[in-house]
Amino acid sequence: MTPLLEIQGLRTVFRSANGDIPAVDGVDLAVPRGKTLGIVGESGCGKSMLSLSVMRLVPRPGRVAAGRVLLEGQNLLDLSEAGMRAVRGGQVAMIFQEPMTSLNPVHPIGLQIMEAMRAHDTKASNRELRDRAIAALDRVRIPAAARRFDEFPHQLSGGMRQRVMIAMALACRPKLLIADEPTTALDVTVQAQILDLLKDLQAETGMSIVLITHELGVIAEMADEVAVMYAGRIAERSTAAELFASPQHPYTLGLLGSVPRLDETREELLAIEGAVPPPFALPKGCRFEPRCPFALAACRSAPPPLEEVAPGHFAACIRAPVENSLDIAA
Amino acid sequence: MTTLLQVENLTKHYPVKKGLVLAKQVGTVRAVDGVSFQIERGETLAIVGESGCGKSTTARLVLRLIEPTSGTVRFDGQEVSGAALRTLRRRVQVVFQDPYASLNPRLRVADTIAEPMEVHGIGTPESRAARVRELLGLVGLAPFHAQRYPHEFSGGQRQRIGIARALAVQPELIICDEPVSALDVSIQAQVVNLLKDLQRRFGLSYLFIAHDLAVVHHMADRVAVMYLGQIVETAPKRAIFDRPAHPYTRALLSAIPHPDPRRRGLVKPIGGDVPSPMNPPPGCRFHTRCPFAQDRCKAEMPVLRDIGPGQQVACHFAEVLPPFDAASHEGIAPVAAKRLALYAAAKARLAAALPGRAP
Repeated sequence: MTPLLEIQGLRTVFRSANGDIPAVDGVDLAVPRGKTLGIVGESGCGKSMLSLSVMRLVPRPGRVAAGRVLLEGQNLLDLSEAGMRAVRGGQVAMIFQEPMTSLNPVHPIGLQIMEAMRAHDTKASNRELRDRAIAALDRVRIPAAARRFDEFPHQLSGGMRQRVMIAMALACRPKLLIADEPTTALDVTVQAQILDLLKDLQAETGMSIVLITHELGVIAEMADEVAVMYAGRIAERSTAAELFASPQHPYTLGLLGSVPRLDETREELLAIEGAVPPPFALPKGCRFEPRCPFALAACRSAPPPLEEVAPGHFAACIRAPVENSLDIAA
Repeated sequence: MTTLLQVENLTKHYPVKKGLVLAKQVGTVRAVDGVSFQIERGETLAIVGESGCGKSTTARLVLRLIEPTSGTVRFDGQEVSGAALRTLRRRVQVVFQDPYASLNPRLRVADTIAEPMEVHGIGTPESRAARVRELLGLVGLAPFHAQRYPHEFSGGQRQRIGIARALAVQPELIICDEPVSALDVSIQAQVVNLLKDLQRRFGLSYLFIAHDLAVVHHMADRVAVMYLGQIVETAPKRAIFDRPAHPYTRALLSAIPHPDPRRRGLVKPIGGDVPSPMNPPPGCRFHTRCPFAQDRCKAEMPVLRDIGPGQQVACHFAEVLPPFDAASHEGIAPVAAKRLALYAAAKARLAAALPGRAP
């Protein structure tokens, strides 16, 4: 089966006085139908820019400079602005991290959902849309949906607001939902509820999900496939089971070591030293080299290609797998 | 060990008023409702709970940034009031959650870190400048950072500046109000390691406020779980994670997604939201969301009682709850574990070879 969404050689740059600065730099990805692709990385890795590029919502002075974004074979980058508007919220919908700033504070939530529906359906009567909006609230398990219809965002808890955002995103039954850190601002108990809801809705509708997060716990819970992003590039890509069982890229190892786990009693967390390089000061070779404990002189000369290290498992590291290098194993 | 901080029956009620001219009190928000705990010297006590449970209010009450409605705070045996407050303000420092909001954008880092010393009249300008350099080194920043402004730093670096400022007056207790929840995982790990390292070096005590039990697992010696203004369970770390006695503690634990796809589907969310602290439910405050609630829970408020060594719980049925399926001790996958060990070893070798490499 062909994947629902294919991203090929995507490059998103920001214009500056010193030339183009890459935020996404040659990314290839595929989102399988009915499955969840997790994209993980620290802030500033380009994961949000990647999703905005898919939606063609990159803020100025940024632009998609190269590549293709194929939704069921159609290149979204070729669409007219009107055509793209029909895709957004129609076939592809998006939810964001902060549900308070994504909702309009001066309109009742029900009307906001109706507005999203109206944008894609000019024929239905208001009464019909209202019923559909209430059904949408009901579908995201908001209790007493008909009564909640007239409430304002400030009257809802953070978890409820995120449910409203999901209801709005799913209003037109999209084939793909892009969730950009959907639970980062929420309590862990509410996060569990929202993730549970997303799984249920995926089972009901068969939609694909692109889940962007910096939390490996969320990835392990939700994703079928995982892409680890670093400084605008894919560092590693495989199924979730394979990634956690046999992580290859040193950056993935660093992320795994940073997560506090309940099932072990390490004294010290294995933090990654330093920080993500800003996109205007990227190293010439491997972008993780300045923070990598396994770095060699060769890592500085050229960026490592993303190579298949095991069936369906890709890593961009000349040192992978690390135990095969004699100087490391010693 | 001696007790450094003793908090008894701490309460903070906010009146809710209605009407413009003749404002009438129509209700009370019980933000903190009878909280007692103590912290020994060199110990880390973590307070965990969802947003709105009163954990940050508790931290501010201990600091006396807000006045309690009732209750006492004793620091090093002395009740905090009047003149004792000034001493408290030196011996207790705070690190805030948001490293973007807690630094003055118009002050150079050197001035930010030196300010507490100035306020308390410690040292001369020269000695303070020397101390700033020393502190920057302690938190893993370089001396030249002293002349920069906060906007020139990343979130993790700002949090290091906040920690340096807290350390400036050699406090005995640092209150950490969600110090890592605004940071990326890899940076979280750096800051958690730094806090633990500083504790070992200076014998610091921490009151660590968090909503993330996984981070607490690495930081705390003891844990107090708060719900709607009250402590529902307090126990040594091991007991909290191996034998959680309160249904709410269990709910918090089973909501954590494990970084391990083999354990997928084990996350069990509890239903509902935290009720409003203006109208807390009668009886046990957790009964509206508790899977084990009985009639008695709706009528009678449970009190904190001892159920094990150092473990106290406020639940009528703590003894008869089914055993908790604690996190399996499968640990990390073997190949991943081997590579992580290599990573740690390589990192250590590098740190030994290049001590100047900035952390």
